[in-house]
Amino acid sequence: MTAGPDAPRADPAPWRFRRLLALYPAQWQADHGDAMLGVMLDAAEADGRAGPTAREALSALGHATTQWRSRWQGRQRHDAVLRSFAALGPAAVVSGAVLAALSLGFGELGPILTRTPTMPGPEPLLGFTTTAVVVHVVWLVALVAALAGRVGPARRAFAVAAAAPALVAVLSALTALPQARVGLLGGLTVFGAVAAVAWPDASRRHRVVVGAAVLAGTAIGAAQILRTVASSSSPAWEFTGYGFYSVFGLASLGGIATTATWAVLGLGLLTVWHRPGILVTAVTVGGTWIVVTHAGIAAPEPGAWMLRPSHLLPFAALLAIPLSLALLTTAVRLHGRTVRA
Amino acid sequence: MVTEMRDPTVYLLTALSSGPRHGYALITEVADLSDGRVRLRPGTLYGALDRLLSDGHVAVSREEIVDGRLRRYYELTPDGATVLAEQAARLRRLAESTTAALRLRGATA
Repeated sequence: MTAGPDAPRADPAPWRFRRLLALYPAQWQADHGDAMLGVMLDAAEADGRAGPTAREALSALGHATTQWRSRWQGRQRHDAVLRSFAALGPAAVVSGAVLAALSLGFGELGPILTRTPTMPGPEPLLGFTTTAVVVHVVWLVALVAALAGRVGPARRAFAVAAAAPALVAVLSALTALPQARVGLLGGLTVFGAVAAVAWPDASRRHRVVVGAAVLAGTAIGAAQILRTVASSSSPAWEFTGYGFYSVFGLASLGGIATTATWAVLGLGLLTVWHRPGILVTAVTVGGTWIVVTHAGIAAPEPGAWMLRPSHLLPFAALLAIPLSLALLTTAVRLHGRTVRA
Repeated sequence: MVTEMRDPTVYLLTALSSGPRHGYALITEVADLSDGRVRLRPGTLYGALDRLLSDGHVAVSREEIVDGRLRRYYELTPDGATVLAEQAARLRRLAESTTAALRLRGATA
């Protein structure tokens, strides 16, 4: 192991050995990197080497490979079927990102840029067809942060995504912009509640923000409904229908519904990463809301300014993809946790 | 039934049986114990140490900085000592049965 007496000797160069450590997962490097570097430097010094030998490099490569493999196996299930299903989590996030981007581009920005009216509905707010565009952008920021592993910024962005539309709606009502959005407020209230449900381990401050938005939306929505009741001359059945739409029927139902779904999915995935099972609640609540709103769309008058029944199928398909993936992912994670226990 | 251990692992436990050792000392000790047959590379050493640590056969006893290098010392745990004793007994039985078989072969030859 030691060099011969006539062999040229050299001081070990630490940077050459650190390159081998770079093969290892970051956590392993943090735990054992310095100690292993010391061993390699001691061995090199005894041999009069400046850098690692080929055998040392191969040995480190083999060990680093086992570390990566065991790390991966620790996260995934050993069962082959479960392992394949586990890939659905990233697939759900990616499909959500793609669909949200398409929705943002074609559904929100497109009509604004081309000045094309999309559907009969409330007046544009601050130049946007719907406040959903704000949520879309914030949600995409949150998604990018989540994919980058920045959990803190991702959660803060999700909080903003949950609270922003309600805040805009509150401002809309307070500033008496045309057609105060009773329906929007009602839907956003549900949206906020869903976000809160999907986010049980949020910090107290974040809970206060979301909770305040939900309460404000509920209060203003209730006030608007009562005002409608007081001033309405419509028959009771029509009022009942209108009240239903007021709460669940949104001005830009498709945009809000998809945004909410992505937000719930993102929140759920982000949360379930540490706490399996939460996504079940989140998606169940979110899915129920979507089913109810779609039932509202499919109903006849009043509601001609809302999404047409013919839009129901594409939107349902759009929503079914991430919801199915999310449910499958949750089932896999729950099952995996059971197996591990 | 005693699970068979690989030679480098047995040598590592044996090296630690006389007291705590740091990584490089383990490499040299194992080389000495095996008459130079087993030469552990750092990756092999840490692979074995990872397994022994996770199995509870070995524990980190202390750390020190020498010439700016971190030296982490490992020691044999009571569980590790039991396992090493079992391995020694297994190897002894193997040696005895092999010797007996060779004696029998010599008697019949």
